[in-house]
Amino acid sequence: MKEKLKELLREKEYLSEITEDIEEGSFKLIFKLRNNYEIPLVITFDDFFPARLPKIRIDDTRLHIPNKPHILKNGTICYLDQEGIIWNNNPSIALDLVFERVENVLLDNNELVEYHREFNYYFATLNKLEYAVSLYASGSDIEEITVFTKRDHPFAFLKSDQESIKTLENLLERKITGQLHYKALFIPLDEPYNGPVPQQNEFWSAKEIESLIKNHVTPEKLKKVEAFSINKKNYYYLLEIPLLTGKKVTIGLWYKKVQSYSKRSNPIIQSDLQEKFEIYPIYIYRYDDCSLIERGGGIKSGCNVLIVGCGSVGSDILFLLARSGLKNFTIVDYDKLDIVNSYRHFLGMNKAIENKKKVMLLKEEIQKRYPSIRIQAYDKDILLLIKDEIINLRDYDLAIFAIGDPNIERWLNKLVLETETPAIFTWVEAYGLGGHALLVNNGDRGCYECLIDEKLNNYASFAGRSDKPYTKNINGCSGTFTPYGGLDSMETALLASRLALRVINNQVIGNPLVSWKGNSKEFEANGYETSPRYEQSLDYLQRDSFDYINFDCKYCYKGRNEDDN
Amino acid sequence: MASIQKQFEKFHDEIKLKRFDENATLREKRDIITNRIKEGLKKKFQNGEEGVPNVEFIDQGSYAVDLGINPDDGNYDIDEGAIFDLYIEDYEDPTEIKKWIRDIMDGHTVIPPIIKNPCVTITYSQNNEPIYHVDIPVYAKSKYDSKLYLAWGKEHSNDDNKYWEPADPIGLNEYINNRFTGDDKKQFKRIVRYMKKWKDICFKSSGNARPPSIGITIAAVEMFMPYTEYNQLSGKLEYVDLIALKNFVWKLKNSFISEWDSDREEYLYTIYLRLPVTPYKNIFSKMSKLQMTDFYYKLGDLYDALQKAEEDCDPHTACKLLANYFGNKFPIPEPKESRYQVNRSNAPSSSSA
Repeated sequence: MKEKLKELLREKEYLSEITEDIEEGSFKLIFKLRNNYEIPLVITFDDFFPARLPKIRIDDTRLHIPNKPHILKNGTICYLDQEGIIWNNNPSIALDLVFERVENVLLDNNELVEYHREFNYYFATLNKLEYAVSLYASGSDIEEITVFTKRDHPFAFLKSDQESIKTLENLLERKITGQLHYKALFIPLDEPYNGPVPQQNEFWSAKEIESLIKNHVTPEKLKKVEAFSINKKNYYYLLEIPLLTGKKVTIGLWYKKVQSYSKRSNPIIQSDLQEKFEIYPIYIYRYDDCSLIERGGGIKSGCNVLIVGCGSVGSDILFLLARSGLKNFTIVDYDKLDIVNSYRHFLGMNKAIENKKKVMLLKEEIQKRYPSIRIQAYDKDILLLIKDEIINLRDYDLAIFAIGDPNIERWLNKLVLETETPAIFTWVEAYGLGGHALLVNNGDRGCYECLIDEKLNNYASFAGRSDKPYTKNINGCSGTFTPYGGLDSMETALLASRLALRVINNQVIGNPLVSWKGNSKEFEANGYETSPRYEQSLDYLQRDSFDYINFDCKYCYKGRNEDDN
Repeated sequence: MASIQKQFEKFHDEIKLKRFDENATLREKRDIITNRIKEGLKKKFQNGEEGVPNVEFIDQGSYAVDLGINPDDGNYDIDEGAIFDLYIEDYEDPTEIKKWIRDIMDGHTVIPPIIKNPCVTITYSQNNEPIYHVDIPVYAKSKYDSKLYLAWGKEHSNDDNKYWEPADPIGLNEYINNRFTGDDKKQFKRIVRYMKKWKDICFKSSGNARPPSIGITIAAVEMFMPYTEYNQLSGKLEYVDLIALKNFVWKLKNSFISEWDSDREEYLYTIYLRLPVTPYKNIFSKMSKLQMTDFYYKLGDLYDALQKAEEDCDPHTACKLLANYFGNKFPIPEPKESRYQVNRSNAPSSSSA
C-alpha cells in the first residue's frame, strides 16, 4: 500500500522530493506550482483512497503557513468542497484532481475578499465564542434593542416589542416572562470593513473594535452610540458589518465587567477601559425573516394566502409555502386527522392519534417550526364560511383549493370569478396516475368550468371514462378513500406550490393548467383505462397549457367581456 | 491574480543584453575599435605641428546604463562616444573630425563606415549579414564654456545642417544610473527592458514608428515606481513586476496630451518629454502626431492586457495573453488540462437533500 502510494506520487512530474513521514500513510513532498513556486506539503492518505481523498497540509517545518483563504492556521488546505463532486476513482486521476484543487487554493490571490466571503466560517472558529439567535430584522440606524440572557450569557437579540417576544416564545416553545433581559445596542456600520476576518485566537482588541465603530459610522450615528452610556455589569451589542463582498454580516459582542468600576460607560467605544472588561464575540444565528427567507430561496411577501382543504395535498402545500417564506395563511378544513390517512399526511401518525381537527394540528406544527408565521385556522365547511361572511375571498392574494371534490370546486369556481382573487384548484388522481393544478381568475379566459365538457368529463383527467368509482372501501362507508400514496400527493403539492409562487411573483400570464403524470400500471391492473391526455409527454404536461380553455364557457366569458369594455 | 513574477524574471533573463563586463565579444569589439582609432590618430598626426589630438571614449546608450536587450535580428548596437580634447571654435565643420574616424576605420570592416548625422557608424558583418554595429558620436569642447558639443551632420550636408550641438552624454548616463539603487534599480531595469521588448514586438521598425528607446528610459526614470507586495506563498516581501509595469504604463499613457485634429476629425495624442540634460529637447520629437497617437493606443492595449493578466488566477492564460505583447520569449506555464487529467473526472451532481 505504502509503496503503491509512493509510486503513484512519483509518477507526477509536478511532485518531487517524496519521502515518507512519521505518520502512517503520510508523505512529505514538494509541489511545484505552474507558476514555478515550490511548496513543501504533507499528504496523508487513509485506507480508503480514492473513495476518500487525502488530507493535505503545508509542511510547516519548511514553509511558513500562508495566510490565505482555505488554508487553516495549522496549515491544512481545504481544497475540496465535497458537495456535488463525483471524482474519478482511478487513483492517478483522483490525485490530479487533488493537486489541481490545491493549486487553485495556492494560486488564488484575492485573499481578503475570500475571507470576507467566508466571514461566518472563520468567525465561528474564534475562541471564547458565545452563541445567540437574533430575531431582530436589522434597520439602518442605531437602535436600543433587547437581549435575553441565561446566567449573563446572551441567547437572543430582538426588538423590544410584544410581537418579537411572542415570536421568540413560539421558537422556544415556552413562555419567557420572568427570563432576564437587558438593553442591547444595535449598531449598523455604514462603511465596509476591509480588515482581516477574526479567527481562532485572533479576535479584535478593544482598541480595534473602538476604531471599527468610530471609523465606519457617520458622525450622527456615532453620537447616538455615545448616548448609550449606562452603568451595568454586562454590555451587549449587535453589530451589522458591511463586508468587501458587498454583503453584510451580523455579529454580537459581550463586554463583561471583570474589575469594579461604577461609572456610566459604553465600553465598545471606550477602549481606555479595556482592563475592566472581558470581551466575548457572539456568533449570531439569524432568525429574522429577511435573512431566513433569503436562505430558503423563497420570497419575502406580506401576502395572504387562503388554503382550503388540509388533506395530504393541502397540508403539504402549506408546508412548502411556509418554507418558501410566505407568512400569512388562512387554512380551512372541517375534518379531523384520521389515522388511516396519516401515512400520506404531512402531520404523520403521532398527530393522528390525538384525533384533533387537522387545521388546529397544522397551525400548531407550522408555527412551532416557523415562529414568525401567522395562521388563521377554521374547522368549518368553506361554503358555510363564505356564506356566513366569515371568510371573504376578496381578502386574499391567492386562494388554493385542495379539496378533491369536483362538485364543490365548480361551485367555488363561480364564487372566485366574482372576485379579483386568483385561485388554484389542485387535485390528485387515483393510483398514482398524476396530479393537476389549474389557475383561474388571473385575467383572461380559462376557468375550472372550462375543464368540464358536456358529458361531464374532466378535460385534465388522465383516467378514461369509467362507471366504476375510483374510491376504495376497506372498512365500510366511513373508510372510503381514493387510493393514492404520499408521494403522489406530495408531487401534486409541489406542482401547485410552484404555480402559487409564480402567481405571487407575477410570473404567470393567464390561467394555465399544469399536470404531472405517473405510472399507469396499477391503475390499469385495477381494470381502468387512461384518457388520451395521459398519452402526452410528461414534459408537455408540466408546461403551462391553455388548450383546455373553452371559448364558449359562460363563466369566464363574462369576465372577458367586462375587460374588453 | 496568480503570481507570475517568476515568469517575468525568466523572460527578463532571456531578453537582457549582458554588459561589456559580462559579454566578452562586445567588450573586445569595443576595445579593438577604440584602440584602432587611437592608433590611427597617432599615425595621422604624429608628424604634424599640433601634435596628436587626445581622445577619450565613453560608453553610451543602453549598455552604458545596463538597459540593453538582445536584438531580434542579432544586430547589436553599441554606442561609444569619442570625446576629443579639441575646441569647436577651431573646427568650423564638425564633420571634419568625423571624417578622420571614418577614414581610420575604412577597410577595417567589409561594410564601409558611414557618416550619419549624429555619429559615425561602423558595421561588422558575418556572411554578409550585419552582426553588430558601433555608433560613434563625436564630441569636442569649447573655449568659452565647459560643455561638450556633438558633431552633427553628414559629409555632404549643406552648412545649415552641419553644426555643433551642446550635449551632456555623461550627465545623461548619471541621470539614468543614479535614479534608483539596490533592488529597486533592478526592477527599474527589468521594467525598461520589458517596455523595449514590447516596442520591438508591437511597432514596425521602419521610420520613426517605434518610440525611441531613450524615450522609454527617460519616461521610466521619471514615472516608474518600484512595487513590492507581501507574497503569502513565500512569506516574503517580493517585487511584483506585473503591477510595477502596469502602473508605469498607466502613467506614461496619461502623460499624453489630446488635441482635436479638425482635418482628420479625431483626437490625436502627443507626448512631450524633455531630455533631462542639454539640449533639453523633446525626446519623442522625431515621431509624427499620428505615430504618437498609435503609441498612445498601443499603451492602452498593453495596459488592458496587464490588467487582465493581473485578474487572472491561472498563470497559463495570464502569460499566454502577455506573450502577445512581449513575444514568444515570454514563458507560458503549461495549461491546467495538460498537467492534471481531471477535466473528465469530476461531474457535478445535485444529490443533496
